Amino acid sequence: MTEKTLIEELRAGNTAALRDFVDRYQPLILQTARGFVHNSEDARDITQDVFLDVMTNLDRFRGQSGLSTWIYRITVNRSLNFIRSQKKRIPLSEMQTAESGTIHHPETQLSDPTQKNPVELLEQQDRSRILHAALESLPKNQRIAITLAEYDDLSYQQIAEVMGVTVSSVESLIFRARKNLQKKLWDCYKKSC
Amino acid sequence: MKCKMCRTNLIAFTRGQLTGEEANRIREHLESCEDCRLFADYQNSIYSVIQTEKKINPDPFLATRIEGLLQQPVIRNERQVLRPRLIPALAFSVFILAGIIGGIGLGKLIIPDNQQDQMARNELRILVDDLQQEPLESFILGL
Repeated sequence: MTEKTLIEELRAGNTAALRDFVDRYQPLILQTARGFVHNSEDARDITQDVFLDVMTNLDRFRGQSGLSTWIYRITVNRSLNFIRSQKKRIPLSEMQTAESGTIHHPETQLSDPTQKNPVELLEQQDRSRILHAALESLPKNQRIAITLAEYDDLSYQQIAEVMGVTVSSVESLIFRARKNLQKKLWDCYKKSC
Repeated sequence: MKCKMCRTNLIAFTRGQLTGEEANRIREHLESCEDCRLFADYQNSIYSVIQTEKKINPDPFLATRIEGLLQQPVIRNERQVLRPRLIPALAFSVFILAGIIGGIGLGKLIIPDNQQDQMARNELRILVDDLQQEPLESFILGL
């Protein structure tokens, strides 16, 4: 089913088309959301919200950009809104950390059958923490560009379409993002953080 | 090649995004510089988290759930959620504004303009010329 036909079928309320649509785009949305929120459960919630957004606003989609570009935009906005709303709350995990002095990583504490070695698990947690902190410290546009490049393997052209900027701007954003990341990681490496 | 230059391009190098000559220069530098090599290993281990995080299993029941949610009578969008919050705030602002404007209007009705001028003039006279209030003659005679 082509993109155009799929949209028409979705507008007509075809449930088979909805299933096809969800199957086709769920991995894309999940991966992008995961790149921003670093938590599978939150990424799943965002994915559901994105699908609902797409379905309720399908009439507004004029087809000027590709469907996937439009979905990427919605996902990025949803993810950033989610991060903003999370910052306003004090996470329970932080409160527990403050009280007990222990570090709590809900994502990496989930049991993974392939990783049973506690030392490996701790190292994995540590690496995740360092990477997420480095990514979160980047300015918003650099973060969007690098996340779309690294987590979704989008080309510079595709990132430019999603962000509504030129390809040269994307090149510059990604270059600066990598430089900043490298700087953060170097500091971490030197200070053993 | 300097260490700093090597480190700046390490991410692009490990992602295979550098041209042949540049990549060769970095490769040669890494062979000769232990510090940069160790950092490259460290950076790769951190970056490998991305590959791990990419592997998320899609939810097989998502389509069914979305179908169910779409069949609910109202999928409220954010504008609709905002409306009930904005209405009381707007109504309160209009009420306060009406109170201020009404107060000014009422004040003008009670005290006519010429009377207001007269009162202001009297107040000014007291401030400028206090002899009218307390003439010097009566002060001396009083002594």
